[in-house]
Amino acid sequence: MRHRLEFLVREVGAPALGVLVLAAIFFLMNGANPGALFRQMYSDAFGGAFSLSQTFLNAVTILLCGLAVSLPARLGLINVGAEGEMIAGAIAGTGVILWMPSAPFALLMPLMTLAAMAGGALWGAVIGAGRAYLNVNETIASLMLNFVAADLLEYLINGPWEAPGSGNWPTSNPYPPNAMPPVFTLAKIQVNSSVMLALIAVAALVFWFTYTRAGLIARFLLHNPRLARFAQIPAQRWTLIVMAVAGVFPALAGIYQSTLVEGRLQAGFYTGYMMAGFVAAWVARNDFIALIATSLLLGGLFSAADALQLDANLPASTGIVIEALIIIVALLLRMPRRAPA
Amino acid sequence: MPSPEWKVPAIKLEHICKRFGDNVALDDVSIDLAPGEITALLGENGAGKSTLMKVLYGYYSADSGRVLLDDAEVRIRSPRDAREHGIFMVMQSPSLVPELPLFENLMMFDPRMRGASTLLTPRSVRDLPEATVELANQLVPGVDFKKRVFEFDLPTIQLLEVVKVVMCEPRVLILDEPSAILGDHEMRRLYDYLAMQRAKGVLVVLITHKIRDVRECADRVLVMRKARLAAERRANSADRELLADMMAVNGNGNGAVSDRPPPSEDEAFSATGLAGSGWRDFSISIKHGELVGIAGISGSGQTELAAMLSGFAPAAAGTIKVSGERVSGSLRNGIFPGIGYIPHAPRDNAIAAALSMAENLLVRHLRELPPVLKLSSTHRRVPERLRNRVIDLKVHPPQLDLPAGGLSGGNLQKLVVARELGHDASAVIAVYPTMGLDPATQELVHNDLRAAAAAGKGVLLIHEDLEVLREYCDRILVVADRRVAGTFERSNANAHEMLNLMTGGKHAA
Repeated sequence: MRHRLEFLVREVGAPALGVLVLAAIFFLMNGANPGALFRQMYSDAFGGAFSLSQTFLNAVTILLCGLAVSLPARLGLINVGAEGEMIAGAIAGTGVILWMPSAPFALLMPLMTLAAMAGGALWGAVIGAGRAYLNVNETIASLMLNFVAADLLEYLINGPWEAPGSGNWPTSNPYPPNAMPPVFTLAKIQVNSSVMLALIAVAALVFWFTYTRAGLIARFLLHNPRLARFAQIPAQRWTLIVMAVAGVFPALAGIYQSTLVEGRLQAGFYTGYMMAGFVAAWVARNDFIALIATSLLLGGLFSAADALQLDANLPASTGIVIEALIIIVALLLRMPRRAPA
Repeated sequence: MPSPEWKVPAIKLEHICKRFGDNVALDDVSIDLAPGEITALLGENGAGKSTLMKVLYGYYSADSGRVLLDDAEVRIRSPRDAREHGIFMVMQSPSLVPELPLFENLMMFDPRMRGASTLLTPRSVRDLPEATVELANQLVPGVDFKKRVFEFDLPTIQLLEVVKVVMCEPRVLILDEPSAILGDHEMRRLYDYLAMQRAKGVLVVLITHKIRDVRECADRVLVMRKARLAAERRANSADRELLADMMAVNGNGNGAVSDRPPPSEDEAFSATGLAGSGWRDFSISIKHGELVGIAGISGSGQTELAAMLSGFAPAAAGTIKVSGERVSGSLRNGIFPGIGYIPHAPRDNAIAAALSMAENLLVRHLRELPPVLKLSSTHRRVPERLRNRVIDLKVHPPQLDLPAGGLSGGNLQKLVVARELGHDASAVIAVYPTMGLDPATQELVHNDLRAAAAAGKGVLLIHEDLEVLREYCDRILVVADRRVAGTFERSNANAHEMLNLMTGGKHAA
């Protein structure tokens, strides 16, 4: 019990307090009243059906991007390719939609979702294959491939997929209504179907790492890959598979973000989510359940940042500043107490 | 050299107690250490030798008890505090930066370069103080300061760790089991160096398992046993029998070959035309029930050879068969099926320190586990037979749900031995399997290897001790400079000739 309390104080209380203090200083420097602003932010993030709908929408995207970090991290791999995977998913899904725009919902929905997942998996598999078979650093490769994906997206919406007359801000044709993922309303709060997919993914991952032999294999690979040689584990294949699976989650987020939020394929729809996902995963120490909580908090921060711009006349980048404060505080708290001799 | 205030303190440790969780590491230990003396600290694995010295070095803080320097109580809170008092320790874990050249490594710590050296000023070997160069050459003659540390072999790195510490001119010098890694050759240089330090009045503590270390250089002997001080003697009045007895050795080995059945005609393991890591065209055949040894001075390529033979590291060419079946060549995922492998440096090569002992043991039994199981209670899944082996080898502590990283070096070695001899295999390849073990445990491990051969496994034993090889093996290959210099049947294993070949001489026969 004492341990649990200590854990809560150390892992949740202290960092939260640290971020609040630093954010308050930042607000004061910008001539705002921190107390009022915090209240405002809370209500923008969690204080009502509309805020909560917005927060859930942000949170699920962050959660899916966070899973793309946490899953590989559980085998000692660092994936910063969620952005590329979001784009790959959106492109693959959009491809299906543009190919059969008048297909019925019952056909289009599963096909575009599967296509998006496959696109993300393929993107992740490229990164994984590089790591496994060519000894290419997966961190660098995944980061670089984000730019490739963004350029590919630019090419498509400026070229073959450009909507006629979309002018200076090129986009694809708007998605047909049949391509809109279902959105449910629970107690006036809107929740889209990707929440279900994300929660299923979390449950599956928790099960994998808590109750399966494969989870044990992952621990070997994480803690000493040489140990895996004693178990005759095909480490390279594992790397490939895990990176591919990790790519599936942001890809889902990509197609949902494109369809539900933007309504068409356009540049920049992915901005900010990968970093938020990374922070969420990192603060959660790659624990899948904790990741849900950190994603919700960051999702709330996203909602609040949008609202701050409107209500308090602070730049929208305030959200990014606070995200940075979270990283700084987490870093400070994780510094080794005493340098080893 | 010594500054005017150079004064070596007399040290008293009084009533030191230290626990790690439920494990009592030090139980009311009191010792005195005198300047100008070399004290050998003996004891079996996990007896508390290293822990006691790490308390003095400020690496651990004692739960109770006090430290006195010249009868004045001092609080040593960190290694930095200890170094302020002139107390330095060469630990077993490596501390040199592998990727940096030796001279940069030394410059970072050289007290004579303090203030003069920052990472931003370009430096060359010539900037290294003369005294440091001289010191390094004394311990490692002809050492190349430009070489990066990872390019040196393990014993040399260990000596360089000593150099890094002693260039700070310690008044109190603690060495944690240097003889676990250093061969006879290197130890001889270290003895000479320690004798010089003694003459200067330095207080030296040498943690060791080897009674030879005591004979060669110690003035005084402290023996620890089960977290307590068991005995204290002048070195000249402590004979081998007494010391062995104090360290809980039960009798001498009677590990003759004769009490094993003769090897069968069937081949357990073979390698043909193996090449890689500097080896060319290495071939060997080991029968079921045969124990074959490989002798050579350290750094002759034995560890690399073993890694290729076991499948732990890839070979460039060659065929390997286990029980007549070719295992090399196909798509491989680590160690070849049918082989037990005890690598050198098990903490790095065979263990995940953060995982529990049970998980480390189950590495070899993955296929026996159901696909769905509760990972928090894997310790209940360790096969009974393997659990008993762990108990037989006296792995301490024996609770399999504890992290393997908490085990002392010797106990960790035993865990790997238990695991690799405890699964069905046709052949066993053991690399320095008793390095760092106390004599009693060494014998347990040697007997285990012998039993494995008696049970029909083919055993390949790479060992630093020629006497052990001659006692246990049916056949011994002598290697030098990555090639086989000679093969000896047990009946004609002449130690002099073998030594001659190991150091590069020609085969007389």
